[in-house]
Amino acid sequence: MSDQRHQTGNVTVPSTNTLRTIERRERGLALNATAKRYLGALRTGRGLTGLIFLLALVALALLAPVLFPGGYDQQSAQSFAAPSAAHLFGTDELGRDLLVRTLYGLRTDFSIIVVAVPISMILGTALGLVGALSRTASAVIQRLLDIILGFPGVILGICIVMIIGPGWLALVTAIAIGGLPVFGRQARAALLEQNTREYVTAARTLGVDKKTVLVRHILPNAIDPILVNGALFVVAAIFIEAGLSIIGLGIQPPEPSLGSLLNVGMRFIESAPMYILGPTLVLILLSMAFSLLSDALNDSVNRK
Amino acid sequence: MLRYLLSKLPSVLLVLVATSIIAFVLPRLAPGDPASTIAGPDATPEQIGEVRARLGLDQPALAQYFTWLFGVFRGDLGMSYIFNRPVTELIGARIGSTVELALLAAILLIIIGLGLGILGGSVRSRGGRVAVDSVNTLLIAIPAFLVGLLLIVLLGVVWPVLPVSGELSLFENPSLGIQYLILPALALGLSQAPSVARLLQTTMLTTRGEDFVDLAVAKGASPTRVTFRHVFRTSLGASVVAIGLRIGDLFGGAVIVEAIFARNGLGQLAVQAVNMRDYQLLQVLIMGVVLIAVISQLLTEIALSALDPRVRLDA
Amino acid sequence: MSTVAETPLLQVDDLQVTFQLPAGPLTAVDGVSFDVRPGQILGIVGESGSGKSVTSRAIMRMVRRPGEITRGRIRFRGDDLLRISEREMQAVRGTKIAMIFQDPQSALNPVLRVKEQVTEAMRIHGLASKDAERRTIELLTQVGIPNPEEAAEKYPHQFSGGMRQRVVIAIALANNPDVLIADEPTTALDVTVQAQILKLIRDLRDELGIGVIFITHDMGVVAELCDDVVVMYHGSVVERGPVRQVLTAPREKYTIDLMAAIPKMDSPLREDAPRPQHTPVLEIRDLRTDLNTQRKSLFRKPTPFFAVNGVSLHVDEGETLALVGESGCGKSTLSRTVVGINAPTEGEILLDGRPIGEMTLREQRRVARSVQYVFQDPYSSLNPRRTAGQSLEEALSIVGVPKRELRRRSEELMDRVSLPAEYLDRYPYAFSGGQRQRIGIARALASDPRMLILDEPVSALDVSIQAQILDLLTELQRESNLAYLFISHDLAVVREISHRVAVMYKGQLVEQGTTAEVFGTPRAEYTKSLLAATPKLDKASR
Repeated sequence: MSDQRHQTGNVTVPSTNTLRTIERRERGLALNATAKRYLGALRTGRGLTGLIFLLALVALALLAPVLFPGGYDQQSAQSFAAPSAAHLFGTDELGRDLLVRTLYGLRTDFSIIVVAVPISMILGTALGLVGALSRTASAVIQRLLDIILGFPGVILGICIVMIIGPGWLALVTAIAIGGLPVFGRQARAALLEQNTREYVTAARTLGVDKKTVLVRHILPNAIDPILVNGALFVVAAIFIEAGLSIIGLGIQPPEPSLGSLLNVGMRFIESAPMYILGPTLVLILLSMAFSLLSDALNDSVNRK
Repeated sequence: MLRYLLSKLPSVLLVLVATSIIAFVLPRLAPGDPASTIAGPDATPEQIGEVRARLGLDQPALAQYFTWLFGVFRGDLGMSYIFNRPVTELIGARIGSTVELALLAAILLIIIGLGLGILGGSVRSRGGRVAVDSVNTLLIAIPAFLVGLLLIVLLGVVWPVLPVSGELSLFENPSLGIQYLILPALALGLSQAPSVARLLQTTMLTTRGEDFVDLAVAKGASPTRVTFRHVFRTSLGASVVAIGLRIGDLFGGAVIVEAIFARNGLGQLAVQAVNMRDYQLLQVLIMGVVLIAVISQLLTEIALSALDPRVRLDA
Repeated sequence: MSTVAETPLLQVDDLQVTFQLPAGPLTAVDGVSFDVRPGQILGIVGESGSGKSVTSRAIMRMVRRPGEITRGRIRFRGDDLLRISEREMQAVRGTKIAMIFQDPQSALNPVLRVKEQVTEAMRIHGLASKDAERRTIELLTQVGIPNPEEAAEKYPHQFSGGMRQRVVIAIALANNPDVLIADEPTTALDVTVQAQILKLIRDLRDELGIGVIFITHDMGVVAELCDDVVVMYHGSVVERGPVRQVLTAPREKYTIDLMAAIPKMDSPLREDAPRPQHTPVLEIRDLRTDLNTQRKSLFRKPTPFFAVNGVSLHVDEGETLALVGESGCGKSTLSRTVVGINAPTEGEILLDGRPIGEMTLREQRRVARSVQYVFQDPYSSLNPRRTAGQSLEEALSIVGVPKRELRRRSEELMDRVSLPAEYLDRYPYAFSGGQRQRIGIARALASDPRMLILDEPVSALDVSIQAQILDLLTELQRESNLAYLFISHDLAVVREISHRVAVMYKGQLVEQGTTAEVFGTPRAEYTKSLLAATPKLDKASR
């Protein structure tokens, strides 16, 4: 059955939506709608898988110093050893255990994501929602965001590395700036859509001031796509780190990151193809985790 | 159509001017002084001064900017400090490689992306939908360079079918050149394809709920006709926009893919330029990248207006 | 024409359609049977959720998942359509049985030209392109589209709703079907356009002898157009028979209640008009509102478009002034200007005799509270993320009600609109359209207003609920002496609820007067055409 409305002159008439209406009425209790939406996402197959992957990786990353107190730089004579019981992912060119280095690399990646993505999300959303308060400011901001958007992620990263030099800070900055247009545009689109909603007009008519309308009415209804995008952006962030590190402009040795491990692995790909096993596996699991969670969330908030 | 393009002109110019300023300023924000790098570690201050004057780096910033800009309009992209050759020459030598790669990757992107999208948007059975979704999810989770690395391992090492490094221009030797091109292009294309596929799939599934699709069924149209003539055709617009956006990313991804497959393209040039602080080269490269993004966006909008008469006639 | 003994074209026998929902199976259509004969127009009428649309889609075997036909036979000229293969069904659709849909906005493919879409109907079934093109022009002429050759080259969005619906009808007729299923085809159209489309359908029936199944929720349309009618409720047929009989002498309780709830053009007028006062609560003088105030490009100043173009009216305490007009006449813009959503370009708005323009900002705000707005779409006028209570409390705290009083006052408001206090803690998705509209009214009452502006407050509701809301509004008016500016396109509703009426067309008032005057002795041509176009129930007693 379609969920469509009909037009009668200026007015919408709901169609035969019996099923949904009956369903809803039976569950019309005062459940916190937000909690329902988000937790509901975790009950699906996808959401659950994503969550499990994520929790497993977070656990491993947090426990790395406990499990391997020796750190990531323990060199030995056995270089390029193939994966075995002693070294699950083998060893690298300096004889270091690749499992250990991969896990510490995962920590590095997490540290980057945890700082860069929220900054980008909050700042970007704020910039996008400025339109609710001032239209001219919003126009200027959108132009600036367009310019940033014109720089593909990696190029932006290269520019930033050029200015502050390679390393953790450059990566965080590149990711944070790169995400601004993504969230800014998303927020602005959500804002424009919310503006057409009657309850926003209702609040304004009642006399509620602009800022309160923004925070109380627009934001809660706009937040869903922002979070969905946020999860997807984490994936993009991981790729930016890996991409920059792989060309040598990211995390510098001996500190490991998923990307820098791949960088070295790339050089030895023909002689020691198993080198990249560890970082590849972890990278794929990490991005899949966020991708799945993003999907599950997307489905859940759209199912309303 | 012409009126539409003209209306876009001011904002395009604005972006270009802003980018040229950024392209000019950015390299200069970096620490380090090209004059002393070129003069060498043992140079005396006078010698460095000479170098600086020779390169025009002692002029005020604004003058340097305009000198450069006017030069660009005349076709003179400046002189690379580091390589000591005209930028035009440096870029000219490498541009073919990058363009080949980006072009083939774009073609693959379109074919695979649209193909997967149509599949996902048409499959009725739950099992089929899950299968397509899984493929998409997996592909999205793997970045271009990783696909590249995996392809190298699979088709270059484990089962050596294709060459994994180096390149040969398609113009010189098409049949051999394409072998070198396939893996990197595939890596690039595959990495971007899933997001296009996803968008197309979602748009198609939503479109299926529209009244005009019902009307087509009520006319007695077969499911194939409904899918292609009606659902796909109207969903195409959004996908074209998505593809257009991805073109810019293709160039970004090309930088990395070139590194992995040891291709001598613009990407490699850019990395070297960053490491060496070559202002002239970097300025041009940055401008070039943004120019490509702007042009592809414009082309996308033109394509969109060709596909969707509502856009065309309102403009 | 057809004789009673003629074999029916279509026979629906004991049809059952079930939807497999996660919460359990739902029988949307249960044991429905009816016949359609050549030249007969059969109406299927019911409120939302009655299953009428699902039934029509079932005949075409176009029921959407998760619904499926679980029982019954649908015989077309003797052959059971439910037994044939999908491919054979494709050959039936568009040739023997054709369907037209409700929403002209989305019924046509936006990226294909009209010509393509009409010829497609014929090409699918084997006609050569050249012949199909020729026939297209014939069809477009037959359905009354001017300049058919030009029109064929255009795109759907270049046409008005009424014209688009004609194209849809042309497509349906392309292969000379025996049966035409029309699913609420005029619900989304203005009343004058609706009258034209109804006439078109009647003419086509007379010329071509097709059988028509006309689905609608509007009894007036049934009275105007149909020969026989089937009344559906909760998936079953409640009553059936010739239109005159069912409408004037219904036998089943549901039908009787339904007919009672429908506002009629011959029902008694309101007797309780208040005595005219010195100062009306609201007065508007020569109001003009320009909607094109935003610059779209840097170079061109936009040409002004006065949606409201010189309107003067007034509303007294305790009185209901109805503002009627079709879509685009400016009635919504007018109401939004009064409330402050749109800025007026010229003219004066006076509240209790004082022009708003001369007040200070603070006075404006205080005075603004005495005029409140009730929105038209109950499905989007409440913030889905806030409970009913939170929405009411927001309205209350704006007018300065202290925190500790909020809950009590919210409960009072709910009581005034006859909703239980527990509903305060529920979210909008838990409520029906009627309940949401009540909450919307409660929110408007929060500031103790003197006047309510109601913009199509009942148009989105079923007839039975509509009657309840109208009763509520009348009672509230009596209790608190509220003034109402009631905006609507539905003349029958207006007639029942208003004391005075103003008719609006293209931004101006063409007529103003008491309800008796405007309905009984209309002076303007436009008013006369509106009244003539409104489907009347009494037509059934011809």
